[in-house]
Amino acid sequence: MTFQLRIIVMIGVFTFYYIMVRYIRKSKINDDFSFIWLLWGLGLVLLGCAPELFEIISKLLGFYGTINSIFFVMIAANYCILFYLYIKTAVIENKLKDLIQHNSINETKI
Amino acid sequence: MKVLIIVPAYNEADSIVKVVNDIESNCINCDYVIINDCSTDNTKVIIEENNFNCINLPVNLGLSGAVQTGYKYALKYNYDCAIQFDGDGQHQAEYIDKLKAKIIDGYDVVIGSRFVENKKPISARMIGSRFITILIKMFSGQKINDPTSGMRMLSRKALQECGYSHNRRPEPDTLVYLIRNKYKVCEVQVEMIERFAGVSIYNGITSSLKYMIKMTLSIVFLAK
Repeated sequence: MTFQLRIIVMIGVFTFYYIMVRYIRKSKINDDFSFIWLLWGLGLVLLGCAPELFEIISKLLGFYGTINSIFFVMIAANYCILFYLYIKTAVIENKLKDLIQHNSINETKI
Repeated sequence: MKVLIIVPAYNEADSIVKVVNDIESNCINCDYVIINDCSTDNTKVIIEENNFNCINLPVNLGLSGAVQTGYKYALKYNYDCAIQFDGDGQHQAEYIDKLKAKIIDGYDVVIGSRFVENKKPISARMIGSRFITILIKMFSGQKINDPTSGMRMLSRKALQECGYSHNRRPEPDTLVYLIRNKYKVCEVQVEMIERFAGVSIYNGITSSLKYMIKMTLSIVFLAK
């Protein structure tokens, strides 16, 4: 990884952290989600500071190249986040349905 | 025995009066409630003008959400059983007593079936129905001749199971679940008439295919 690219990654990550912390302080996102994104940012910081670390890990895990391992981890992590969000959405949808039904029954006088 | 007739209605302005008149003239001892699933036509106006019993849902929850609202209402007001009765005029109230008799006999779910005594006609829709019948037989051991019939009466025990679970929609997969969990399910021969207004929610190849795939996956993997 070239020095310029490292600088760009670091600037990107710190901008991301700044926005994240602002949103948390304004209570626009809850702690559960911010925790995931903070970990994500930490991974990017590590990638920017010590790309050699990823090369070693990739070799240990048996990947042909570092890029392959990074893509694999990114895609897998995205799937996990997507599934987690899907579960959250389904739970919220069910709660909303219950609320609508409960409210409609209580409002009705037959 | 307190019986509640649940009439889910979405855009049934042309048929709802006829349906309620049928119920009122043929089921004097039963209560009914229309679940207006946020209709976009005149259904709500017609219901209010005629002073029909109605629960108005502020947003569209779909058929299962509307029927489940009726189940919850039945449980809240201590009904012994409840029957789903379509708002499009296909079901006939004269058969409700026949279904009720089976509930009194100890059954938990009684299906108003078109094909207990009559043969299924050969059509694309009936091929789908036959396929679901085979699936139900394979996974529950019981033959259900008309698994897609919407005319179903549930005992209080079955209402408690279906009223508060989000996956117990009024569909064939729920029948498999109930049979496998020792609920007693049976069918009673009824006649149904063609809908004279409105459009079926499973009208068209895409929605029918989607329904079949969803039911197959649900019966095979989830109805345990």
